[in-house]
Amino acid sequence: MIWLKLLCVAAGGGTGACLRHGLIYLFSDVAGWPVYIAVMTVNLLGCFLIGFVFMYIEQKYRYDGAMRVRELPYRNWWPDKDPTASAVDQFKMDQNAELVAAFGITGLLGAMTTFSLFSLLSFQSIQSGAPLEAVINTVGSVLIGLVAVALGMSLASYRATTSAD
Amino acid sequence: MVFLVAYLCVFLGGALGALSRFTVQELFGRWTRLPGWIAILSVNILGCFAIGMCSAWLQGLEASLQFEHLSPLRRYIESQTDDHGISLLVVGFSGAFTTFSTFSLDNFFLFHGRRGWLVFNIIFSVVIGYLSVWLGWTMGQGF
Repeated sequence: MIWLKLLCVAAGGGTGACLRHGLIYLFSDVAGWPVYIAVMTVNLLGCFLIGFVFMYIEQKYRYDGAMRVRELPYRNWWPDKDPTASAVDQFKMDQNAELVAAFGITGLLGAMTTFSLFSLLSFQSIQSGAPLEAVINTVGSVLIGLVAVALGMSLASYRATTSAD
Repeated sequence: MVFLVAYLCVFLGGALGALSRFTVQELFGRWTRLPGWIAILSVNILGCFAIGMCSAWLQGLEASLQFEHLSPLRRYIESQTDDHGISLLVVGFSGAFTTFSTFSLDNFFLFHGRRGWLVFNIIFSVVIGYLSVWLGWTMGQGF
């Protein structure tokens, strides 16, 4: 199980890094945007997707709100444990959730977005005498990132409440 | 061909980076009782140090080989040259080791739970991230 999980993380991480690289190339070279805007766009896209995928996994696989959500004061958002699911089903479901989270969240989206390129580009902007770029980059990434996560989560919730799967 | 090798390097670096981040996260959860966002915070700061150091080191390597004096990362991204050191270490490893999406997800949870720690997380990440890029950059120039 741990090896399978590590494999999922590695496969997702490699794919996410290639995806990030291709998207940055597309935005900065083909579309002609500045590099920091391209990195910011990829980061914000990843934030939106992580909100969506997180909530999707929680609603599809989790019944008890384990994982990160345990620490939250508003954990009553999640539905209670399904009384009809047996312990074995629950265990299998938890395992599936862990694998999907390892591939999608830790691997793919975690590697697609990057904090170090963001810091490096801001640092280079400051160094080359354009601090306004750094300010736009920092404030925009952090604030719009929060909003993007919230948007992704509410979209996943909306999808779960309206579709009947 | 060069194109394929570059993407292979990014893939390898990305897989290694994601594995390292996952390991750090798991060990944090197993060895300490700190909340999960502290693990992401330290991973991001370590990765910022690594990217500063690697890009300064590779830039110094290029400067010593009498190439044009421009940031290799910027030139790499803008023209996708065949600098496999950059694609492996900077874009692949350091890029995938750090994460912005999980940082934002943690920020979202902290926003709903503990706003004091949200402010701490954002300011500490950004300020110490820049400082560690600078520190790595200065140290990398020594090599």
